[in-house]
Amino acid sequence: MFKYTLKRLGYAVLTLFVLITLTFFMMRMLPGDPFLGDKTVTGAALENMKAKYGLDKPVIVQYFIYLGNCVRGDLGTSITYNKAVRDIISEAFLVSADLGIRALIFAVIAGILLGMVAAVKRGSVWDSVSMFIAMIGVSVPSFIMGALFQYFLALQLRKVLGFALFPVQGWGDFSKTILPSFALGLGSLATVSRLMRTSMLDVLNQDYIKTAKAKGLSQTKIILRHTVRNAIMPVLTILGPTVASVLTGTFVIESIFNIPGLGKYFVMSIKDLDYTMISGTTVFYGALLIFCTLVVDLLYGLIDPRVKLEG
Amino acid sequence: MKKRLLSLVMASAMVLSLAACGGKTTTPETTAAAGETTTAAAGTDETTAAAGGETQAPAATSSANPNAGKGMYPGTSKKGSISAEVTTISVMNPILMTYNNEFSVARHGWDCLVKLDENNNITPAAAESWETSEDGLTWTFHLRQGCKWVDSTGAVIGDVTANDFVFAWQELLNPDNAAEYYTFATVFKNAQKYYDFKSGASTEEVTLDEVGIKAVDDYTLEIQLENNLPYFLQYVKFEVMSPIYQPFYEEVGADKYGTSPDTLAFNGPFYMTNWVTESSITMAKNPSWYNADAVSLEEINFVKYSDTNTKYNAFLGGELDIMDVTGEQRAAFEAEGYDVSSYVGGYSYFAWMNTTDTSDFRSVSLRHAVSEALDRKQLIDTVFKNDNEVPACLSLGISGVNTATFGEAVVADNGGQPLYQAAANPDAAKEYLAKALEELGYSDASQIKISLMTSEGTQNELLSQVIQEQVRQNLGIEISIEVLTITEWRARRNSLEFDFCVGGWGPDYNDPMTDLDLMLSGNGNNHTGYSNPDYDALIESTKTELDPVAREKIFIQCEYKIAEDLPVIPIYWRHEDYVASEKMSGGYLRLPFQAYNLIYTTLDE
Repeated sequence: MFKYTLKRLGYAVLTLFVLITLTFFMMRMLPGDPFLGDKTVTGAALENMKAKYGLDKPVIVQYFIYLGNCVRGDLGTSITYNKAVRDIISEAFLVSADLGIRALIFAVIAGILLGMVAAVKRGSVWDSVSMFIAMIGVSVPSFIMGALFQYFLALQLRKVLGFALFPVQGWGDFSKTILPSFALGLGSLATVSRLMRTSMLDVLNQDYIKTAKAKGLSQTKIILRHTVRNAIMPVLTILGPTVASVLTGTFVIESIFNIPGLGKYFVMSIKDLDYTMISGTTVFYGALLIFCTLVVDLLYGLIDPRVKLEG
Repeated sequence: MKKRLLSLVMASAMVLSLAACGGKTTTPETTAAAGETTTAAAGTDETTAAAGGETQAPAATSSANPNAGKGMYPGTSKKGSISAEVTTISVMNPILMTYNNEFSVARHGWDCLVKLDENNNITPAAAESWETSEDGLTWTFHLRQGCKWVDSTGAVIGDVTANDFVFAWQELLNPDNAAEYYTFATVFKNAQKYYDFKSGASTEEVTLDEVGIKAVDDYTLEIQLENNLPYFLQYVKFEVMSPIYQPFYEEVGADKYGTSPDTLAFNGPFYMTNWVTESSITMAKNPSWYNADAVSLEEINFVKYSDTNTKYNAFLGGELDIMDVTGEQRAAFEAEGYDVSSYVGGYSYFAWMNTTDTSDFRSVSLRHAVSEALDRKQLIDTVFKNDNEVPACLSLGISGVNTATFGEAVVADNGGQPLYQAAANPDAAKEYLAKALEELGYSDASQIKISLMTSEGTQNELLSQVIQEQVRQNLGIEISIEVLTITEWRARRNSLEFDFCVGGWGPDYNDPMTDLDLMLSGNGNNHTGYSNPDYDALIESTKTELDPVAREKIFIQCEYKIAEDLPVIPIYWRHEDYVASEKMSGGYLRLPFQAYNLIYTTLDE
């Protein structure tokens, strides 16, 4: 187990290093520089700007300085915002994570419940409803869902009710978080509910369930104690990829609902060629995804001993 | 029910018109007086005595909301508060600001020495009066006494003194801060030499004491200029020239100043209480401001929207009070009877023409041929569908000496004709083309190779296609279009690696110089390679011409020269369309140099 963990950790660090290096050199190959605005800065003023952000040194020297700073957890100062990149990211990521977690909780809880009901009441109206929701969730992208929610549940509903049940946009109050969380979570909800349904049906046909029935256990007990506990395993294994898809999905949802999250910085920093911000966001996000994969890898080993720990 | 609603609306409309009348009768005296004293100060060496400053808000008549009382979009629900859309709010340290919307926020948080009124005339702000020496090189400002610095909680932390301006401008000139707009402080005596020495670009030692900014006492500021500058007051009005409270700045540290509301101190009508990076800024009314009694607004939320459709929905949903609109959104508002307002921000759009040997546009006749081939009216109607104008000249948004705008002065001087035509003139275009072939030594028009460099974006690309089509139809020349990312576009523009490309220019201060010195030989912003000693001499002669009318005449000559040589081909004058919710009944300004001035907004609640 220890050897396995160490190996996985080694791979993670190596991936991160490759990511930092590639990002650093690739963004430097983009045409232009961060100080290109509508109005042109030249001469001593331009030199002073370059010096302020350490861009006056040779690129290779800048690379090693940056690498050293990364190890210390310092992502530099944003050229656009003249603020520490770390501060900007932590401010914005808290919002993105908040949104992501809400969406995830919604997706997992509602997905599992829906899947359970669909399996237990197989062939009933409930099954069809669950199938329908899953179809929509899988086939309609979250940004369309978000735009539809915004138009019908915020704007039009307000006209009907005479007051705003759901605000159109923004972040902060609980009422503002509902629509974006639903829009973001719906896709994952669909995946979770379908998986849960299949897995439940699978377990319900097992011999030990028949035994339990024969022993006279109540339906509730059979489902809660014997079926769900076993059926939930496959759902847990897809949680890793689900977290990743929810986190990447926040970008568009943030834009539609005007939520001050991290997503916009990815696009804007590249447009502005804000070097420190480009590498800061990429490295941070890369590290986060690598960490998620690592945790899932390790959890596999813990949950299912059949996964070979020697990897 | 419907009847009752109607009578209610009518009643409120009556109340409103009464209120507007009230505004009219009480204010003209004050504003007129302020206007007179400041024009006197700008032109001569007389002392101004705008004693006491304003005691009332400027007349709201010029900016009354055309939709007030319609009952369609009542706006945000929070009392005393409005929400305004902004586009760029990246930095909030005034000396580092570069964007129009940043200046707009600054206008609410800080008072410069002087500011602009509702007619864009200079009016006293932190300075109560000022005088200038005979030669125009020495300026003495007398500061308003009793003005206070407040922090992000609104607590008073000190007095505003002359040193706050001296200190701020010294920081602007400090190379470590790398302020892009440091150039505004280089008008002071020895300032450029000091900057160059400090930057290591020059070895001639100049100390801060030799720079022409001195605080004579707490309320007297004495300024020495390098050259006579007739529009110097436009410089000290610029938001980058806002004061900084030295003890606070040093406590926070230069690196941290302006990175969050609690690292800023304010002396203006509002102070910042909250700032979510790249998202929103909240400002609250500053009760310690000298004219706070005239401010009825309690809070302003400046909000940035990443999606234009979301912004539109936010307005419809009563979550936004004032925003810019696209041509399509404008049409939608007008279709339901909601008036869209429009103002000139000062942005003039034109094609940069590469006049150097690397491009076929080295031929001045070819430049004329393309200009004649353009149907500017059709272009505006196809691409923008709004009030954008056919340009009468290059410069836009600048006040004239005896006319409302400099543009009007140009047209009047030109016998009532604008310098650029609205419709295409294919015959003239083809004549120019024939001459161009001679100049270029080509035997056939097919030898001409020109490419239009475009930056990404639906509107930009459509604009390029329209130009391409018009040139094809009216001139018979095929131009290619090259689409680039904005940074690559700028890099190529700056290094003159293009044939022509469409760009815009917004004025920094209210004088034709801000637009016309663009075409000077060697100006870093002159992306044409154009260099004409005659033009340079014209610009130079404005610096010694003290008579404002004669000086304006020289600028008009400059416009003629540009129209003759066409280093740039003016294409359109931009108008910004916007709507305001009915909550904002008036008092707000949207003008060149004042993209937003919401200080005296009146509310209908």
